[in-house]
Amino acid sequence: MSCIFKQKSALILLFLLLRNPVIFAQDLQVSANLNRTVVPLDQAFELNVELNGADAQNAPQPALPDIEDFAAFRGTSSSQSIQFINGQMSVSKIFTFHFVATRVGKFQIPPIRLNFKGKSFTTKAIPIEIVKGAAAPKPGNPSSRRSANEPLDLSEQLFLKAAVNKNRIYQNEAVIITYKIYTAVNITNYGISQLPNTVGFWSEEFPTSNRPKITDEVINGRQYRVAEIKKVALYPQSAGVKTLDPLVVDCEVQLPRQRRRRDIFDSFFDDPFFSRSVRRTIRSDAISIEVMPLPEEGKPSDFSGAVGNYSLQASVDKHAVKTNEAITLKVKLAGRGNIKILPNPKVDIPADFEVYDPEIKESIQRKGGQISGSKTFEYVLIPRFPGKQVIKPISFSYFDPVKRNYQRIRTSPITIDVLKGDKPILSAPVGTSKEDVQFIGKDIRFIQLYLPEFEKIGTAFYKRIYFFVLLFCPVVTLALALAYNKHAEKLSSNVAYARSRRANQMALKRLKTANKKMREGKPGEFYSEVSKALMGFIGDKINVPAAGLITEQVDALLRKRGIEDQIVSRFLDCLNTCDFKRFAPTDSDNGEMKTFFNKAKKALIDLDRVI
Amino acid sequence: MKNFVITQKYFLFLLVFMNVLVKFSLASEVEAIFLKGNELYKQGDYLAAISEYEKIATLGFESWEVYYNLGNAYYKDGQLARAILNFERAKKLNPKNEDINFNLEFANLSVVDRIPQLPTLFIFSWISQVANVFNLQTLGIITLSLYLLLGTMIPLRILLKAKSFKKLGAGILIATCILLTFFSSIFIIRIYEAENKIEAIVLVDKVDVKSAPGEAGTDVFTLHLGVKVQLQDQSLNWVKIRLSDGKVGWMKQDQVEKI
Repeated sequence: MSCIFKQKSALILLFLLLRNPVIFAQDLQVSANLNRTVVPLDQAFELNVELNGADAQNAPQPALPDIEDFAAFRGTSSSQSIQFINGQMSVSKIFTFHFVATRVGKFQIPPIRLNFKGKSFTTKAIPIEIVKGAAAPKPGNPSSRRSANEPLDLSEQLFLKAAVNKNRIYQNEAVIITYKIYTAVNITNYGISQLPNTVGFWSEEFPTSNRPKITDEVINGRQYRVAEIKKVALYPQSAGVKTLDPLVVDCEVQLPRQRRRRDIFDSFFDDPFFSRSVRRTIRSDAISIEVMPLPEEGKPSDFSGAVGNYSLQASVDKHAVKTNEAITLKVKLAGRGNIKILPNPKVDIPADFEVYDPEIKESIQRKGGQISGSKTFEYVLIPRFPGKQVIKPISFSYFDPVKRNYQRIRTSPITIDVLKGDKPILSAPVGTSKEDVQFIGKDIRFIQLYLPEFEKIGTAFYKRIYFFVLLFCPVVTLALALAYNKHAEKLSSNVAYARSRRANQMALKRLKTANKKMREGKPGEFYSEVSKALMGFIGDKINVPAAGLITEQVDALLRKRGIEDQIVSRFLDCLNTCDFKRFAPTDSDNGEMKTFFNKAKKALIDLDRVI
Repeated sequence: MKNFVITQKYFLFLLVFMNVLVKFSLASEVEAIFLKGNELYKQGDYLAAISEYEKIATLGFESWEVYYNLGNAYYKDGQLARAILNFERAKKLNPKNEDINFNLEFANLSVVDRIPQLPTLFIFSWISQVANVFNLQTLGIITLSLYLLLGTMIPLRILLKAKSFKKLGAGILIATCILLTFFSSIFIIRIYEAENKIEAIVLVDKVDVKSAPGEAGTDVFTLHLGVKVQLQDQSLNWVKIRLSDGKVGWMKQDQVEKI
């Protein structure tokens, strides 16, 4: 037994498991019903389309059934309820279509079709019967049965008037329309059955109580009681001539009972209990409003459509704040106009503040025949850096329809002193991700402890003189090396050059020997050496063999080179003296030799200079 | 007369000696200051440590360790901009030191402004990588020694004509030439950078960079402390700055300090 039970429960479980996803995916039931199936002519009835199931809340509004030939559509409303029972969500959504019966007869409301998630749902057709007169007789009001049979002209005694405060307005300027019922009869009840279509307007309704205040007014000698039943401010969104449909109001009017007999109680009993009730539909006139576009002339660049009369205030809750502490900037726009569509004034907040989206609060007063109010923008600012911060003046432009020009209002700048917060900014590196910080470590590395080699601070070394000297050194050495190389090459390849380079050296060497001979007292050898020095010098310089040279030859060679006569003759004189003294050995003392030595040396030096 | 010459000689000697002595004593004084600064840092007295380290520079000495320790002390004291400034100075003297680069990078994490680097051609980034291995002075010494080596080798080759030497010398000569070309070009690039790319650190909390020198200029962008900028031009006490992403503007001279 228990085994079977177990099997059963397992099966149920399996079934549920299999079924559940299906339930959640496409569980929708659609049904339709009427609040009453027998409807008197000109009376309202409701068609309810009910959607049940988990998906109902996402379902679209079903299409309106086409029943125009017997009913007029008045509006839609919807309601929704969600229930959780044992963890199961059940949703039911009801769309209610309001109709007024317009033709007598038996009709059918066709099936209503709803397409949802690729599936289509259809309801059953519903029969409806529209009957003449009061199909639902009101108990305690026996006379009402006859009311329909006696059409009574009440247009003089009961009408609806729509009053406009002005006919020519600017775009976005408010036009105030007041609907008033004028009546000379008793109205026990009324209801607005059709509202004017306000497409293209932004409407703001003034509150009206269920029991409107009643005033007295006299028109054409007849006294009326006047009740203001509706007052609305409309803001046209575009320019052009706009027409508003009439407002339709259903009234229940009490007429005094017509009596055959007049008795003394007549006037006494002239009270609702003894009167009869009649339903009347009254309409206001259609209203036409001319909407002027806003002038282009003088339109400020920051104008964004606000029309009315406004004031602007800006304030901060504290003028001194520490970094990373929040302050609140409050910008308040107040005045007359369409508060709801006021744009955010442009607020220029310094970049050092972290700014959050403003919190917007509206407060609207509908009093004294105009709509006024304020819109408050609250910005939360968090300063990140210390210093003096200035919030630049906030400006706002609007069109004043009374003055017929554009106005610009601005606040004064706000100065905020930001002090350094308790926590240094360093403790929380801004703008790094957590991973980065983890990777990098939490602290800087420790200082260097070992004694460094200190350098003198000064001009860069590459601008110092020694740097350039060092740069120039190799150039000099290279030049020297090249010069030496050239010289050595010449020495080895050019005999004349080599001899000429050697001439002084040889001459000096010989003169030295001569000097030595002079000191030893050997005049012959002395003169011979001097002669050799002089001759050798000439030979080397001019590159001729010195051995075969004779004085005449020397004379000719030197003159050919264009050497001064004086130098040549002095040189030749020395040579001749040498020859003479050498080959004619006479006693010559040291003094004579010394004088001659100096003379010869001078002659050599002079010649060396010019040769 | 002779006496005077002797006195002069002695005086000169004394002067040199005193100079050496002063230098020596100064160096030891600087060392003492450095060690004192380290001691104060270890005790956590960062402000006192900062004043010690700063003394070294006023005496006319520097070393990357001093700048590094000074940067550390500033960082610990919460003076971010000066910390970065000194880390950058240390890096200039020792570009490849790991500690310096770590601390500089770490300090830069707290800098608010993130300035994207303009992308450079890989070859340029590679060259700058190589160029930054040595500091300027080392690079100069290397280049100069190579140059002097070449400057002695070529005259030697000219003078000494021994064939064996020529053969041996050719290889070294070519190698030296190549190295010299390499190092001298890097050296020249670095000198050019040092002379033309003057960088500075923003020291004030927040500065509105203007489009022109003077208060009348419109605000172009905002910088915050610790950002490295490049100084390009100067007009009275205003400097023209350039960011690594190419933005250019003017700010007051005293709001930045050169690295």
